[in-house]
Order: sequence, then structure tokens, then C-alpha cells
Amino acid sequence: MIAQDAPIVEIQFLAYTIPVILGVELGLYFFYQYRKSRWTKLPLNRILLSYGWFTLFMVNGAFFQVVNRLAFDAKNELFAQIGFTAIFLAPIGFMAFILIKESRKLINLKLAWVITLASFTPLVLLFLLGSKDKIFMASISITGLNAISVITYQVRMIRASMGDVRRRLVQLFTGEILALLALGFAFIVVFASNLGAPTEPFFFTGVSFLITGLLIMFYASNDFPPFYEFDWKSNLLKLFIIDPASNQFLYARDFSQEARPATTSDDAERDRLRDDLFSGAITGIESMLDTISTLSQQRLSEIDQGGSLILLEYSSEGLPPVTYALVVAKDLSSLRHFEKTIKAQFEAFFPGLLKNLDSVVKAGNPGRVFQSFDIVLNNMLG
Amino acid sequence: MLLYAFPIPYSDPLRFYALLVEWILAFICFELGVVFIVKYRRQQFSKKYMQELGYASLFFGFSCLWFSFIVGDYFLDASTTSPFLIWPRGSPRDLAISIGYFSLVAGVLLFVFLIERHQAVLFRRFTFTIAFSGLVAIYVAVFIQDIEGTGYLNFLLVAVFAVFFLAFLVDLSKRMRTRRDVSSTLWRFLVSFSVLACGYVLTIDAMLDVTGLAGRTVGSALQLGSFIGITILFLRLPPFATLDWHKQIEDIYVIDKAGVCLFQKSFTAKQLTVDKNLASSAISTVNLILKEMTSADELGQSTIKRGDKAITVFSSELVTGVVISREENYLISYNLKNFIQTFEAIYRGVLATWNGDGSVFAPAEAMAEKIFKS
Repeated sequence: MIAQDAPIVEIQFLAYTIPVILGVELGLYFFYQYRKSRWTKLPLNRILLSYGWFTLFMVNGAFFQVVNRLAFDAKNELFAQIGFTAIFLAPIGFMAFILIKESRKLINLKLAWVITLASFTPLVLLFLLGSKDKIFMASISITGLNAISVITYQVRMIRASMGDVRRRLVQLFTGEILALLALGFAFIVVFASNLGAPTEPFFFTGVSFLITGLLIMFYASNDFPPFYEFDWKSNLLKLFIIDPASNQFLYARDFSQEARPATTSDDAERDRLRDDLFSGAITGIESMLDTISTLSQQRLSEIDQGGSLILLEYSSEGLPPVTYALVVAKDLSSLRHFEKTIKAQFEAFFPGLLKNLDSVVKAGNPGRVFQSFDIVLNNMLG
Repeated sequence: MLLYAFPIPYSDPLRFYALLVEWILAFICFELGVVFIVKYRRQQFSKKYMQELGYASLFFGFSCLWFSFIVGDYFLDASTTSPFLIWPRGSPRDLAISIGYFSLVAGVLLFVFLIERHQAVLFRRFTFTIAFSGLVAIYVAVFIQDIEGTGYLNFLLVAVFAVFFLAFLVDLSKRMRTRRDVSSTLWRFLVSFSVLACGYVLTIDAMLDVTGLAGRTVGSALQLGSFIGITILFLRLPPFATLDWHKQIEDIYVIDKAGVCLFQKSFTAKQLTVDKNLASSAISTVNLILKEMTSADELGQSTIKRGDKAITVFSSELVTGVVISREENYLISYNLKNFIQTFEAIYRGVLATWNGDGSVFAPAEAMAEKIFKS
């Protein structure tokens, strides 16, 4: 059937098999990642389904077009229709998975739904008029609009995220854009073919773009963390910035109280006492552990205590010792990044005060001096 | 003497499908190699375990073998000329296929070495590496003499490798958490390798004369399936660092609710420089402070990470168990819980009326040895 007497066609086929394998694996891998992170019950994890669907349908749709061109000289209408259907369904599926109320911060949901539903128009026209019809060709612009929605959504999602998740989303987006650039080369191949010009250089360049894009996406998707990005703040419990020399708080913030105020005055008192204990406790724990000689002399980095986790950071070199303790409900990479940012901001905001920390503490009530960090922290929390 | 004509002619209706399956097989083997390289690079333990690189070299070897088969069998001339390059006789196809076998042999040798570098398999460490290296040396010598003469040596290499791999799998399975894990892991590996072997037999030249290209296509597909199965099994195995949890343990303490050390055992050569009761009191106090700080339950698990050390604490009803280790490891937590629950069940009566005589807990030493050192 295929390439009986044309080795170059056979080689083109083999070359295109590589992105198809990568695309199918990547799509399935995204579905697997979603399944793995289902326990988190985070609605925005559906973005993994969107990526999986998009990759699977886009790559396979293009594959049917390639088979049609190489094996049937682009004359098999069934293959053309299957190919186009898969390509059109790729952005429709992407949007369908993430058009949920949690996405309203990122996109106008009503408009996005209208565009997504309108994207079925080229599909209907494809089956009514065929793949060569001019009206059908013109209707592809609606799918273009949907593709713009997909891109806009991702750009806003990248802006709203931070840390490792942000880095990975940027990589995914870059990979996706490279893979989509390959579609441009696919159009050039079709035009060159119609004009009788050589198509192979454009074909192989397009395939290399596609492979590179998919590889970048693979790299980014490896062990993708649960998508807490708009939810990570709810996992913040408390922040303490402590001067270990005097065991005094430089700054303290209770995020859990902001979300759920104490119900009784007893609860509030108990919380206050527990917080008072905190400043000395970290230093105390370190001193206690020093008594066990087998332990290394490095600093405590993390304390996992069942329902909560204390992440610890220490002041940068050249500054007096300050301990940053962030109490969180879940161990999220975003929260670790957040704590590092707090430390950087605190050190940048109070460089003079921190250099003369001794005198600030001796003057009494250092918490009042550093209280203005509230403004910075509020800005960070958005 | 081959009856089948190489390169496989374009006129053969199965050529394209056979080529496609073999291409996918070669590419997926390459990908699997990359997967293990990524897995090796992403290890988050202080000591990196090289076995993942061993798996990668094995898959890269298979991938090169299949790419060479594709080039040799589909695109290169198989007619023998005399002389051929440095050999008295041979063909371009023979050269391509030999390059493929060399790649596989190199991959296998590296795999055996990297596994034996970390652990002894069946015999003393590096026994298989030495045996395999000897065979490879003979293989090279024969190859230099006669490009077509290495066929029988391939079978010998496969046999030695099969023994090594089986012994390695048995050893690996033994380190699983439960007996059920051991048998299921072993069985799944054996089934996958049997399918791989059947697939391979269907693709050798002698079988091609009997079954034609259809048999070879089926053989390649079987190999593809078994490679995917084997990879899933490998990826499902816990990291080697986790399997080596018992090597990471340094000290174990069992402390009563008052902070008195009931039992202590050290798994490292260095002696404790502090009194065990002082250490246990410190740990007990830390645990108490933590519970007060975080309003956590009295019972349960907690972990403290400090530099390259981790302290895993399990508080039960009557006693608290503490393990100081070089890494945080869920198998340590799991086995500590096991140990403490057994300890409590055995000494429940003693603990209620304990008069301070530590020797009563001496038999726990054997229990600790069995759980933490086996």
C-alpha cells in the first residue's frame, strides 16, 4: 500500500512515527499524572487532562494528514476528515476540561464557552461540504480563535503561578508553541506539493520542530506537582521570623486565624501560648539535638509532624542569625519557594535593621519595628 | 547459508509493516534508556545509585541492535564479497549487524558491571563482570578473524547474562516489603522475559527462512510488548536507595513515656559518645515540644530533617521508637512502626511494672536485628 517504490517516502513515514510515538506517550502520561493526583481533589488539576487531550488529538490528527499525503497523494477524503476532526477537537477538548468556575480568574468563562462551542462549526462543515470546500477552509479561522483562547489561558496561568510549577508551565508552553510551529511547516509542505516544488526539506524541518517541542513538554511534565497554584495560600498556617539569640519574634503572622478566626477566647489564648512557645522551641530543639553526637551539625530544615509541617530557612551569609519558620498544612514546592521569597524580601526590606539586630532587640518589642512587613507580605499574597 | 534475500525487497507486501514495527521497537528501547537516565539524574538521595544507568545502558544496547538490524536488513547489500575490508569475506549487512551486536554486548557488560559495583550477585562481587569481560575478549578476537563467526558466541553470552539476570531479579525481589511483592515481582519479570526470548527467536535469520517476514514482524511486536512490560516493572520498583533502607539506619531507641531509654541499638561502627539516656531524653523532649507546638496527636509518626540526617519518631501507646538515619525513607517509618508495635505487644506486661532493669529488654536486640538488618 505505502511506499512500495519510494525509499524517501518510507523515510518520511519513519521520521513522522517518532513524534507520533512521543505524542501518544505524552498524552497518556498526562492522563496518568491526572489519575495519580486525583486524591488532591484540586479542580485545576484538570489542566493535565487538557494537555493530554490536546497532545493526543493534535499529533494523531496530523498523522492522518501525513498518511493521506504520503500514501494517497492527499486524495483520501476519509483520512482527511479523520485528520481534520482530530485537529479541531484538540483545542475544543483543551478548553472543555478547564472551563470550570475555578478558571474564572484567568478567562472570561462565557466568552470562552461561546468560542469553544462555535469551534464545532468547521467540524460540521467538514462533514457537510468536504475538506476541499472554500467555506470549510474559511471556517477554520474559528478554530484559530479557540487556539488563541488556549494560549491566553496558559499565559495567564503562568503569571498566576510560582516556583517549580511556574517553571514547568513555561516549559510546557514553549514546547507547545514549538510543536504548533510545525503546523506552519505542514501548510508549507501542502503548498509546495501543489506547486510541484520539493517538500522534503520543509517536512523534515517541521518534524524536527515537532519532536523538539514534544521533548520539551515531556521534560516539563515529568513528575508534574499537584496543581495547587490558586489554592496554595489555603495551605499556609503560620509564619514566624525569630531572632534565635534572644528567642524573640521579629515578625509573626497567623494565616489560619485570618481564614478561620478562633471560636472561643480559650482557643485564642491556647493559640497565643503555643505561638509564644514557638520562638524558643526551634532553638531548643536544635540544642537538644546537638546533645546527640551522631547527628550532623547542620541546621534543621524540616519538621514533619503529622497534620502540619514546619519549613525552616535561615538568614543569608553576612547577616545576624534569623530563623524563618513557615508552618504549612501540605508540603508544596510553591510554599517552599514562597518561604525563600519571604526571606529575600525581609532581608531586602530591612537591611539596616537586620545588620543592627542586637540594638533593635535591646530597644525592646522588635515585633513592632518589623510589623510593617505586613505590607510586603500582603503584596506577595496578592 | 541464508535462504531469505536481503535487503528485504520493496516488493514484499509485509516490508513496510515489519519495518514500522522494528522502527518503533528500536525507538522505544532508546526512549526507555533515556527514561532511566532521567530517573538517575533525578535521584534525590545524598548517594546516587548507579543501577539506573545500568538499565539505561541495557536499553541503549538493544536500541542500537535494532537500529543496526533495520539498516542491515532493509537497506544494505547482503551479498558476500571476498575480501571485505579487513576480513577474508563478508558483506555490508554483516558489518551493520555486527555493530549492533557489539553495542548490545557493550550495554550488557556495562549493566553487569554497574549492578555488581553495588552488590554481589550469586557469587563474589564482579564475578559475572570478569566472566563476561573474558567472553567479550574472545568475541572480539573471533570477530577480528571472521566477521561471520560470532554467531555461536552470541548464544553463550546470552546464557551467561540470563543466569546473572535471574539471580539479580531474585535478589531484588527479596528486598520487597512483603512476601506477596516478592513472588509477584519475580513472576511478572519471568513472564516478560519469556515473551522477550520467544520474540527474539522469531526474529533470528534461521527462523526467517521458516516463518518469513510475518514471523519476524510478530517477533518484533512481542519484543516491543515485553520491553514495555519490563520497563513498567522496573519503574514500579522502589528506588534502590529506598530498598537499601537498612544500610541507612544508624541508631534505634525505644523510649518510655517518661523519656527513659528502654532499649538502644547502634548499627554503625562508631560508638555513641553520649549516654543513651541523655540522647533518649533529648529526643523525648523534642517530641514533646513538637507536639505542643503543632497541637498534634499524642500518637503517630513525625520526622525531623537536619542536614543529611533524619530522625523518624513513632509514638505508640506505651513507648516511643526513634530511628536516626542518613535519609528519610518510608520503609524506615514502616519498619519502625512494625518494630514498636511488636515490642509493645511483647513487653506490655513488663512495661506496666518495670523496675528499671534494662536487661529484660535484651531479647529485643534479635528482633531489631531481624527487622532492621536483614
